[in-house]
Amino acid sequence: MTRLAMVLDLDRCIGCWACAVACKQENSIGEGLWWQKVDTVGGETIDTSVGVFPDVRKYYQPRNCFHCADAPCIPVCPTNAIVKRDDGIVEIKQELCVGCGKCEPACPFDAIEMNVVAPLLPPGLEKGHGAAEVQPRVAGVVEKCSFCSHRVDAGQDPACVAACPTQVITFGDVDNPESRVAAARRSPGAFRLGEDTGADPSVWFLPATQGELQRRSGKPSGSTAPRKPKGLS
Amino acid sequence: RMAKSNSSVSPEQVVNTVCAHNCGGRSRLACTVRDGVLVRVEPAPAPDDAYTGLCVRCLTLPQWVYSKERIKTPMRRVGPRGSGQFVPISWDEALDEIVDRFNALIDAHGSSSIAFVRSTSASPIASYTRLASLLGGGGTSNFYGGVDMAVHMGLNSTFGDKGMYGQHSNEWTDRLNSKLTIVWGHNPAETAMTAMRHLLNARDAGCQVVVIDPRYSATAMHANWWIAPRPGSDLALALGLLHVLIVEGLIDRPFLFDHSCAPFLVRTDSGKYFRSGDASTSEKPSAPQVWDLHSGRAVELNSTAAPALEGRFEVNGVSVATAFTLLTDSVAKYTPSHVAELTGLDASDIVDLARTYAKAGPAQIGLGYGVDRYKHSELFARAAAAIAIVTGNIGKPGAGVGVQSHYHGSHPARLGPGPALPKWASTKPVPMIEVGRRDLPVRAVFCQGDWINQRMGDMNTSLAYLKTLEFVVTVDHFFQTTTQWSDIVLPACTFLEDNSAARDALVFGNSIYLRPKVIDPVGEARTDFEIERDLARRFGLGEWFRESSEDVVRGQIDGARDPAFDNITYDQVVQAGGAIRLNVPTTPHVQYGNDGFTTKSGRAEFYIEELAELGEALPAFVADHEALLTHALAERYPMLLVQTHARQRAHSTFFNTAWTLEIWPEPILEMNPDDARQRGLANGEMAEAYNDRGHVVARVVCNPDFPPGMCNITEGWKQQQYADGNVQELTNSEINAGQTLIWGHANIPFFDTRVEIRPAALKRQGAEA
Repeated sequence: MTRLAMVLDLDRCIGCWACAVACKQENSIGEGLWWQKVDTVGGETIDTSVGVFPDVRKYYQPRNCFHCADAPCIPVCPTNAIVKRDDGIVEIKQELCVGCGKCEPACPFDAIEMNVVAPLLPPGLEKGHGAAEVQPRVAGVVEKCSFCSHRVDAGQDPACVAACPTQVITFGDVDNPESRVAAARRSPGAFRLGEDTGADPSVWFLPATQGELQRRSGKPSGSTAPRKPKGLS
Repeated sequence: RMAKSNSSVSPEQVVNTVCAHNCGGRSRLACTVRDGVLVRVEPAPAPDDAYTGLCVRCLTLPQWVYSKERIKTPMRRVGPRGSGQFVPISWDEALDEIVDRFNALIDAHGSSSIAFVRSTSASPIASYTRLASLLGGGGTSNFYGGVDMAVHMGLNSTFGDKGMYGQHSNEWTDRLNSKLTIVWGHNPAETAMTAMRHLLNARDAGCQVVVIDPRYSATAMHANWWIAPRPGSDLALALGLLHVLIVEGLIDRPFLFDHSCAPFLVRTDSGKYFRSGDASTSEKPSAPQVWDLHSGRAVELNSTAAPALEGRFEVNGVSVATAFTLLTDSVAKYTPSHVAELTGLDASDIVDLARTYAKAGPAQIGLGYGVDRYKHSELFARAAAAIAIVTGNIGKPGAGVGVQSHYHGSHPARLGPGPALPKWASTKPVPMIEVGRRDLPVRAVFCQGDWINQRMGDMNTSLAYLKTLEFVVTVDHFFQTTTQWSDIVLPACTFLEDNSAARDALVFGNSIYLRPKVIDPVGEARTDFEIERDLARRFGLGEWFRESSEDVVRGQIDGARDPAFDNITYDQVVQAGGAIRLNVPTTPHVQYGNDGFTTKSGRAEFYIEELAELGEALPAFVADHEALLTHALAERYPMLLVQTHARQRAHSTFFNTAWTLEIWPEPILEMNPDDARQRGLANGEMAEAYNDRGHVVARVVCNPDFPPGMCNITEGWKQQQYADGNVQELTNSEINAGQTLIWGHANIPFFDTRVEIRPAALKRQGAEA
């Protein structure tokens, strides 16, 4: 059997969002929706760490649909609009979706979003952008990452894989032991999110260890309390 | 599975080109054009596969080109200056008005009353320089310089002048040959993302990556060793490393003898080199002499087999010392414990870094522009270069020192010359940092790009200067700050738009690349080539301009005499799809591997005699810059404000791209959570940063990646994107005397900016900018 999968080496991710923007462009996704996101694992807001300087820590974790082998979104769909292809890609058939929204909470990974309004595209690109093979997005249906099935069918890597400047993502048939993605999956420490869900996701991560392993030198430069009024007007 | 129907798909084509923006990555781009619209950008294979790839900025090119800020027609100002009120006019009207106004000013006040200035936020191709040098019989003013040059000045002084942004570092791919690389004030993970792959490849292959940065950057988080000195203290750290290397004898004596100024004798009275005939001081300068250990005399370098590396001597009553002895003595006071006080590091870390670097094997020092934007950054670069020189860590695979944030450092090759210019064609240089700060004859400025927002510090002074001008013309893609203050605005094509088959040619990534037309011009935009040519014709200077840019490019490739171009013609490059690998070695380019240094002595010169009068013949820690806690302003303005580069922009280019604005929507003021708390500020609240020069209002983000006392607003936001003020109102434009003495201009020290921060009332800015 073919099982298309991804392995993301988090020790090479720089949080640049090229994967996510390439995805948005390729699939003509409207304002406010992202099929791929890059989580900052650290502080409260994007690009911030947790901790006290210089003992701080953060890493980046791109996240898309995990194309689970036992995808929980499929059985809850009343119109059979979500299907699993023979190669493992979990795909939404837009023309069958009635927008009931049952699949959204069924996904343990928050990978499905409702396109509530007609997609808003940037000026000059209102007729759509990205691949011609991608169906125009419409209001009232759910959407999510397709592993760029149209590119896979043409023998290409998904747009996120092609765009990543630091080559974080390995893509291919994880059931083929000779494949690069199978080798990457066998790397020490490889893990998946949501092992306990039983969904059997097809996206693995290699852990971000550099921040823990690295040596650090330096200390805070001292008090920087705000200046006192001292009679200044 | 059935393929989706393509019946409704409109005709499309894919055109390959090369990104033109100022991160320097020069990504090769496959551009999908459907119904004449650029709808997709993907990486295109580069002739040298190491350079296939792009970054998030390239991906936003389709919305950049069509953004709502795009200028579609020539415009004339109708409201008061700065009001932003314009009406469309025809190209003929616009060009005629420019020519009439410029001619009248040149007649009345001379050609120096016209100035040309450019910023990379507009078309990045060198334009209008021919017109500038021909106009008014030569002698128009040229505002040049700006920022990100100080480290280049320091490296140029040491190794020989390679031009304003001259590269001295090895090729990105050479990092694989290094056992250790010190990434110093350089953050490719956020500034030059396509360079980061090579650093990660080296790390994953076992090269130890040391990042020196006061902030936990996205590059620092990937390092084996992150070192966080106090902001602005990098020079002290470099001198401390030199101290340890020399005291512990971790030096490469053969390299110092053969390839550096180390054995040259220096007069201790004047700081000048000791030369033959020096006692009479009447003769022309000859080569510096050395001390011959056999005869105990000062002699010419090439007449002794035993020059002294160290020592103080007397020649005809003149006290002399070797340059190396002076270096040794000058760093004597930068002991690990003293440098620990200056930098906030532990003394043991300084000792360990010096030993680790010296003993690792081939090691590189890669500099970025985070260490460029302090007042004395040229001295820092000279000290960093001296570290490589004393250890002989230069000119070998895996060994080198240089700026790595900009361009690949791949094998150089020279294109053929462009069309000739008459001998009298010239411009009068005016250092950018002095514009608005001294009297100039300039009455009209021809601007390419958003010069005022991006290239000048102390923005209120710059804007006051702009208001004194009689006539301002701006060529740009988008309405920005400088366009708002202009009288005539001209719409320029981006690098993706053209009417000509070849817009320009460039050598990059061991290849020759063409930029062809990808899409038709947007609106009535014209290429800079056409605008310059048509202005020149109206000035009666048309004979010096070719009909099309393709003519120029063909001449540059077919006329190239560099062996790298042997058997490569323009037509072949076109047939190959616009890129061909040059005839250059397949191993990574190593600077100074085969070529000597291009200094006067042909050696690496850590000693600069011309700077003796300023006490800077050797790099010293001149602790007078605003960034330091010891500065007089530090009590009143306890926070140091820097401007890191943002992932979404190359400087200010891409300020207007919708997809990345969804991710990073507005200017944010990042600071250590303790600093925020002490000022009664919390995440998401609006705060005002202010000093005597100006202010800015932005949303607070508490981020412990920054040390206490340091705050940040990424550079390149535009006036209209701030809630109030502008980060450039706050920045410093103090002039460095040493840079001016050697280079005729000085770098703008944007990071020598102290501020205080307080909560801000939420209010939108008024109409007046």
